Amino acid sequence: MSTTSTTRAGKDEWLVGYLLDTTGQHSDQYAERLRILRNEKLDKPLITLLSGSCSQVHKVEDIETAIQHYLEDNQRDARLIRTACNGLCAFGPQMGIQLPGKYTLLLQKVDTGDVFDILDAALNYNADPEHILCQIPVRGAEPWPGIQLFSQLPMIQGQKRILMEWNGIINPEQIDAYIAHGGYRSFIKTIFNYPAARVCDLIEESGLRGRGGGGFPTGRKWKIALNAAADQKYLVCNADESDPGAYMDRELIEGNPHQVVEGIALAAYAIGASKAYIYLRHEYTLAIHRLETAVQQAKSLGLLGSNILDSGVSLNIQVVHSPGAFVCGEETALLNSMEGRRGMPRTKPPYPATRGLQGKPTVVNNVETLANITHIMAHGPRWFMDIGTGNSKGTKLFSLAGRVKYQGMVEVAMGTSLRDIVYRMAGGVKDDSNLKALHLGGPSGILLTPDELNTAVDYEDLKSLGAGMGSGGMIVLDEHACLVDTARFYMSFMQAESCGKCIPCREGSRRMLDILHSLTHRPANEAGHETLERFKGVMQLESLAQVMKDTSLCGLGQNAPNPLLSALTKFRDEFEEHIFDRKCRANVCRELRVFYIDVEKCTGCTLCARKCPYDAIIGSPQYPHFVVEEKCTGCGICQAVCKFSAVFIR
Amino acid sequence: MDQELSQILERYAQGNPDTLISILQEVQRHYGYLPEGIFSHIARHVGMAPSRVYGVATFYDQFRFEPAGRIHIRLCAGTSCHLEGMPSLTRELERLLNIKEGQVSRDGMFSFEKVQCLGVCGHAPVLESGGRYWEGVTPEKLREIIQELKSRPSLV
Repeated sequence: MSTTSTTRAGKDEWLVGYLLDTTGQHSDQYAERLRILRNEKLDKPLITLLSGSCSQVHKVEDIETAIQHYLEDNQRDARLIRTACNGLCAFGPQMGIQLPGKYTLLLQKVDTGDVFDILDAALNYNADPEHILCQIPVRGAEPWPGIQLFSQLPMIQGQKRILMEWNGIINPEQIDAYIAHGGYRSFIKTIFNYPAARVCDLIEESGLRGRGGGGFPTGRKWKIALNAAADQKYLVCNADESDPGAYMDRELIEGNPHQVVEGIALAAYAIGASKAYIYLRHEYTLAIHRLETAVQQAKSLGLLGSNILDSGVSLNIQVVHSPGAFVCGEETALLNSMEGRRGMPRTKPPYPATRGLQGKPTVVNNVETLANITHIMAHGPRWFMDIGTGNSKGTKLFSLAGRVKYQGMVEVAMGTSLRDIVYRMAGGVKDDSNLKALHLGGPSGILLTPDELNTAVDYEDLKSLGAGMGSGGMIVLDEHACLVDTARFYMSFMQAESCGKCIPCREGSRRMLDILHSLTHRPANEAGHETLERFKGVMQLESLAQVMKDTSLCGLGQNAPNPLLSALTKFRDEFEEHIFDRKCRANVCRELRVFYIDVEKCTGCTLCARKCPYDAIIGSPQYPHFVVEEKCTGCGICQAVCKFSAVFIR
Repeated sequence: MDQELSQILERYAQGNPDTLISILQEVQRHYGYLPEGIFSHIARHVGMAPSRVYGVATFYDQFRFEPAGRIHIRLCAGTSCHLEGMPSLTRELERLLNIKEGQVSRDGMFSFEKVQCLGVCGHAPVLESGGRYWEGVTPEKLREIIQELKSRPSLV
């Protein structure tokens, strides 16, 4: 590879000059060009299509084609760019329209068929109220009358957007846009002005803690690696987000990949690593593409590579496509996987910070942690310490899913209550049904009761409830969800993902799943003390969980029983109902259902009897039919086929 | 060893186990799965025992060991999709295609698998086939989707 000065792209040379002008002496000469890059000075309308991974679901390609057709047919000139999701997934597909001198209009739920009408109205300075969600301020431009601001949206109020500030606004595939919004400045300033140890100090001072789950102080981890003597050190960005229902890392990468790259560059500089890897899930095709583009662009501008801008600092970043295993989120398992082995955790100590990849000091940081670094170095540790609570600083991203009104991503300051997140930012429970529980932290997380929602987002507060900050996946469960089934779902996930190294985890998770399976299914026969046996199994779950916690090597095994144990302690009545009454109040456990036919409504059409695969329905034509309980498996076909709505669940 | 495989292997330095997963990924990209015959060649190239190479390949979700159907459907197994009724969709799909998860229908047309969260939880339940996504799928919608996939001329 050639050095920086030869690969630097000619037309973007001034960007490097701007970055090197850390004192701001020549800021006047760049101001105009930066305004153009920030889209604050438009010569023609700008249409933004918010397209992250969800765009595939929304068929954003079709919308894009429709826009192009409109522009061609009407001979309008406009610039069309694609950004990423702004976290308001429930309002997608979203489209932004910015006219010269005006704030950006953000439109929601745009359909291909609406494109013509929307553009016709908006491009003629007349806002179509049907699709308008809000407007986004643009510096030096005028607001539209009577339209609320983005920051005034109920979902956004109460959020503190630092990492997600530019999501959906900035073009993620253009490095100049990122630089114009202040990007890479702190990286350049840092490598020219601060020694590595000073960066570690600043990060430690800021109180930043790992966002991946453990919550270990990032600065301290870096210092261990910095002080370890070695000829080669590595930085690994852990983007192997495989927790079902969590997608914060993906959103950060898709929305603003350069922010992550800059964080990685700063972290690598701080620990003295000249090689960094990003371990990213292979399924995240768009995130892979955007990240690889970002790394490439940074390299061609001379911000990565050897001897970066003649500073003597070198860094190469490589994107590794993770082949997919939940356990590889654990740092030592991840390192094994990167070395071409089965992703099984190693015994700690030695910790990766002293002996990691290829036996060299390696720091493994999560995407969100690294994205924070960029901002801490830009604004200083004091600024960061002012956000959050005593021991938890900064913001945290959560992905909200399940039965909430507005699913999507939120970024809140530490200390925000969970109730605020669920009821204000997510708009409460879907269909106004009652909240039953909140599941926090994915398969190794716990269930919280509605009473516990007043807890704040804070490492210590959540720990006191037995929950970790975890991955940030938040699942809202209402009356339609069965908690026994939810516990079984997580357990089956953990059982499948257990790497098999520690016997308590491998066999224990299997045994737990068996016990849960027997609760959610009807026994083959009722002979003997089946019920008692099953109850005994439940009684032993706690001691089994304790053994798993005590004897498993990594977090997967230690935390695998969490969802089940929290459900068992907090929602014991549901378990008892499943055991003694064979009843699932949410009617989710299909095998426990028994159907009956209302004799008043049944006309004796014989349809259900003919369709029943188990011959569980008897009756003569023209006369009411009956379900033989012993034979019924609860499949529900009879209910689905009945034309007279005569079949009910007992 | 066929030519494509040796071409892939040539791109990676010999005797370096670190490259194993990248090699396997590239081989799978080329063949669509990992054919049985390749393991000994790859093992020799990276300097590992074939059993170890096989052990690594079977550990990860990404690798498959038999070809998928011409139409391969991926069902999201994330929490949101589970809550919104993925179990009944799975049963309906099994019934419609007359195959179980991981199997290929007799005419080689269909196969389906459950995959880790596709990350579009806001639109659960979600399924994907050939780069196309369907959101908010119900059993009725599923029947239409299957019909639609069957009638795609390019695949028959």
